[in-house]
Amino acid sequence: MSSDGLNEKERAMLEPENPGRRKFMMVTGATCAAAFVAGSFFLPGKLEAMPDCKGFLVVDLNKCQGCGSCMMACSLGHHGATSQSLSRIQIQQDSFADYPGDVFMAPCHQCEDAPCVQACPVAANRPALEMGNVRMIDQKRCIGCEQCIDACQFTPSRVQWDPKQHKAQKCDLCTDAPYLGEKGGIGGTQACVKVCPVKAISFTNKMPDQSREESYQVNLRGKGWFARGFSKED
Amino acid sequence: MKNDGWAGHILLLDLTRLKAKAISTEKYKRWGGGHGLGTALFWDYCEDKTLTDGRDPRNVCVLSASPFCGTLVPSGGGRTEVTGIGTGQWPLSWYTRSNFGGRFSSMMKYAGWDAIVIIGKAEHPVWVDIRNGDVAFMDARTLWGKDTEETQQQVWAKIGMRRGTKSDWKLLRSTIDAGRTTQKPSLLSIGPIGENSVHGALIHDAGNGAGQGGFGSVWGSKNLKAVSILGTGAVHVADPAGLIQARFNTQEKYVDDPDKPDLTSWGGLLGMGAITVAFETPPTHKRRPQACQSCIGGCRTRYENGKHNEQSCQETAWYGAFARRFYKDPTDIGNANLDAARAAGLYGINTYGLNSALPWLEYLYHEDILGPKGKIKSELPWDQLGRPEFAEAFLDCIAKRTDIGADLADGYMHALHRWGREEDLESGMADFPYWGMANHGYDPRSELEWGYGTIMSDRDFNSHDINLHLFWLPFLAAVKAKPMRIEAERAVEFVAERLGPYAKGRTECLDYRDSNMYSEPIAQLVRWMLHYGRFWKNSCGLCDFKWANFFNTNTKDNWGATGSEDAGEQVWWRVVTGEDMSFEDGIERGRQIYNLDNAIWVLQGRQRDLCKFAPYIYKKDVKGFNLGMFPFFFWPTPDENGKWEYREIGSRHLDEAKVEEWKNTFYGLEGWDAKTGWPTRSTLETMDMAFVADELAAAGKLGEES
Amino acid sequence: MRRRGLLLLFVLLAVFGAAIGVGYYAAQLRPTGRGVGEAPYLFFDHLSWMPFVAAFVGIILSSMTRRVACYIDREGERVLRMDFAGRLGHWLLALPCIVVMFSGLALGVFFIPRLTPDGQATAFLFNIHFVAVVFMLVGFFYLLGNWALSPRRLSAFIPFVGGKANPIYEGLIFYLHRAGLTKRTVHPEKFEGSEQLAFLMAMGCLFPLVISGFFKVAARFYEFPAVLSHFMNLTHDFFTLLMVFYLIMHVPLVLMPWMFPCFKAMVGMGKGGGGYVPLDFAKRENPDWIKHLETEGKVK
Repeated sequence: MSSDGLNEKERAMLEPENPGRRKFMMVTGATCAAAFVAGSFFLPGKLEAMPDCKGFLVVDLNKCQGCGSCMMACSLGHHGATSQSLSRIQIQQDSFADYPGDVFMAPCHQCEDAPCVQACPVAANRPALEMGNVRMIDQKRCIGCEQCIDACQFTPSRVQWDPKQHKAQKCDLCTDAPYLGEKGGIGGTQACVKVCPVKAISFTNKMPDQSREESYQVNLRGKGWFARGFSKED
Repeated sequence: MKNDGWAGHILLLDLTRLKAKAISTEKYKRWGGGHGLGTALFWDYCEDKTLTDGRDPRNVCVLSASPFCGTLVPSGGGRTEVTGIGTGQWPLSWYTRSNFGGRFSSMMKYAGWDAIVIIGKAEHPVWVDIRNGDVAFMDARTLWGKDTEETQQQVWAKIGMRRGTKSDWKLLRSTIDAGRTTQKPSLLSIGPIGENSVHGALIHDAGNGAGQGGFGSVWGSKNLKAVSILGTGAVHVADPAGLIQARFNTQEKYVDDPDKPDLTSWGGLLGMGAITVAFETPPTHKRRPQACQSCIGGCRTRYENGKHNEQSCQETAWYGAFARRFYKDPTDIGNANLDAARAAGLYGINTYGLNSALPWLEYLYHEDILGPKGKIKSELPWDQLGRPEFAEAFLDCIAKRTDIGADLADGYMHALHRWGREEDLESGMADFPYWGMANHGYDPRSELEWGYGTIMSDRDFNSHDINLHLFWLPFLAAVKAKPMRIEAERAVEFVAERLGPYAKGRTECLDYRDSNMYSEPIAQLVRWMLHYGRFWKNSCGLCDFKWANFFNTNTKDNWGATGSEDAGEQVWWRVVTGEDMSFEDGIERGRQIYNLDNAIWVLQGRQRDLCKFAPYIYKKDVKGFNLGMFPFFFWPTPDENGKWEYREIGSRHLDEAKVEEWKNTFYGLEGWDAKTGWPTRSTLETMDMAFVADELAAAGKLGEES
Repeated sequence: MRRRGLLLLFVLLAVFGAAIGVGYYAAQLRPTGRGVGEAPYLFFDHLSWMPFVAAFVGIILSSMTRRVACYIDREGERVLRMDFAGRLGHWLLALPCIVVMFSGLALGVFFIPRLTPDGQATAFLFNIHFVAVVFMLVGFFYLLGNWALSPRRLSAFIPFVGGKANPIYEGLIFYLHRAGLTKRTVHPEKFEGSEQLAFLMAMGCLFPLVISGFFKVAARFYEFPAVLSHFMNLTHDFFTLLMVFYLIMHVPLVLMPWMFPCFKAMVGMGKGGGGYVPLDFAKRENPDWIKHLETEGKVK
């Protein structure tokens, strides 16, 4: 047995070939591999800073009447059907709990450094640069790996799962709400804001303090609200 | 019809065999959901329609949603209709109805069900766990005897939902595609009173209740403690953008700005938005409004003291007058009243009955007929009537059948007859004017459509359509010394314009003067209200508080939403189901449903002679005081020159013979045999209900053709 | 020879295992250092150049090995069926391919939901997928390189052209004959029909998978039109399922008792050395192939 591992008979049976071709492949392969390795230093990284969203939803936990109209309007505007599980804003209630702990409102925060965007392995979830940088999930790119759902640091997760499409979805401030019947997105209508019978959800261009979840909870009650018999203090 | 608005399936729960089965909704769609759907299902699944006590295991109880449930239809997305043979009425319990709000019907739709049909009786107490298409019958022996709050919370725990809010998504089963939700299960349960008496209510969450009809007792007799639903699906609608836009428009045009309320508006409760309806002033501002799903302005409230959550309206009506005797400070009165309301919810009692029962029992106590030394023995602390402790003790004795509860538990009229107190029905001290049911509060001798509507159906009429507009608004304005925002004549014109197809534009239908009490226009009004209620309200699930909306001072021309082109009932039907039905088509559908109801009553043994008021309603000498809650009763009436004003029409009686004549008119208009009150074949066949005529004929109960 | 083969196998497995270990560690959540949240380290995000480099490594590797023609070793009473380069290419493609497929299925495809319970497990699976993809691409492009160097071998694999018999028909008749259901037999060259079918299925699935896979990796740093991304995702999903179907057929068939000497040859345990099948076995199973080798003088 020789150093190339072939016995005599096998060496005698080596197939003829073009030595030039072999050399060509070796050199070309090595050059291209080196080029890719070098080029990798110039590829745009995935974790470059993402531009800030230009719109946010803020909520008044003390004002919400728990009617779920926002959830219905959201799912209806996006899907043409009402569904709590497909709503991109979630309202949770415990009808036996003391006010104001009986209601929690969970809108998407359009985070400055959104973990759900960072987690997406296929860049389906990313700021839509032409739409005010709203963090939205391109349904054509999404592969349904659910990384974004797990990545959201808030409870409940602000990313939902569509079991029929096998894709994730999230609040896009009604940028892509084909059944809304009017223009949505930043500069347009948000279904949940407009439908709320007590105006417990508001839209703002000013980014809330990203270090505190409570900065998204505001007081939207005034004298008129008090005149109805409800508290306007927190 | 497509499945727009419909879930497409009905869940049949057989408690005898502990089996569940899905049936298609398709053939039932003509009845329109809610009451119509429930009655059609009862017609098919009740093997013996002659039953007159809802506690018979052959009774069929149906919980129905409608195409509107779970959608954005304003104040139409959250009500659940309950139908079946009731309990506790007199002289027999009719096939009857109730409904409740909250988030049960929407959850039912999201789970994929248009209705739940409950048949049979379980061998031991069970509760039913429904998660989308999965149904399981669970042992409820450890829940039996528990109050409605503890029952619901324990079932939540069994399903794995923790108390409080701010919890993460939960998988319904083991995979994400089987559905996930952040919501708690929607539960409907009974309390101890449903387990042991005829007065049981069905309670959902803290304060939604189906009281009338005693369906809590029907469930108790079936050994059914609770039904829990979790749904993660969707309700498709025919015109999603149309629904959203119509909803936006309705809020903007017909409803008060939540932050700039017009507290003297005459927009009806639809127009007023979120306003707490309670019969005693809520004891604190530290609260929020609370609403059923899709409601355009919640009428309930949740408090800093969570024990009082969602107690409003009727639950706060039955004890307040007594609480005011003990407490002077409005906060204390409010708290005591809410404590009593909460107790009623925990025990699960139909509080309507207490409206008349407690004053009557108190009268007996003060006459020394009832009490420790009375002929009717009672050791209850009657001198403490007004304190929450008394309320709890009273409810407890009914639940446990102790003290006078042993007699009351079988029905107030049953107790009255057992005690030999028939004279109280002659004098009116037992204010149970119709079917052994308590006076709702609106004197049937004054508010004619209420009284007539009740005896021409199965139960306390409880349809506030014209009551809210023509009684409450002027009443409140008078009490608060505010101007009448809409003149009487204009008010009745608004209402009359919607009374098609029978009486469109006929203002005489709203004329409640003595001279018009037994007239054909009044009969037309009652027909219209029964038919409107049967379809648009009870079958579509539109809330009685918000609908109808005849006039509304929030709009420029003061026209209300009812029948309007942009927000009328038919608009919602069209955008949800895709069916282009007119408002009056809906009235006709209601007539069919009402006729199906009547057919069941006829099979149960209904004769026109049974359709009457309690004796005191006809007594001249009883008119010395007003019945019900109100010291005076305004209603728009014309004078002899035809000038309409809001006038006092209380303090009168009904002439029995003239009421009987009025019934002839009513039966004639309905196409029924005036001798019996039974429908005729020709009437039924014009409504494509020959199958009903066949069954009535087989029972020998078809009305004679005139 | 066997020792070298075993050593090579050991080294490859060790490298593979180590890479998986690194992948596990990388999948643990750690602060991103950018404000909020924690995130795992995904190889696909940070080493997206590596699959492309792997392709060229495969080509370089193919230029370092020589092909040995099949021949009869009379003295050893054996026949060389698959040379070292062929065996290396096959296993360097096949073993990582199995890991790629199962990790891909577990990540969710079409109607099959994600099987991992949480984000961290998903990240680990993505990293496993990445490591296996890199190895698989080395093997795939090694095979392509081999065919570039020996086009004659490639032409033997390609079905239907060059006057070859229909491999589907041949495969069907072969197995029906074995089952005693037909008297008809086939006369393949080294039963090339089955190899042509396998080639068709494997390359027919692998080419779209590799192309769509490269595309999906490139999408991490280049903005392709969404419709194209969607099409590539669907392609990747569809051919994954087709590949599963192929494996379900291929693996049991090669483990059948009458194929066992071939399997032993493929794993380097053949008679007297890797790649050899016993001569009497070959005469029994493929007499025409033996006749063909003798005719061509490939006898030592």
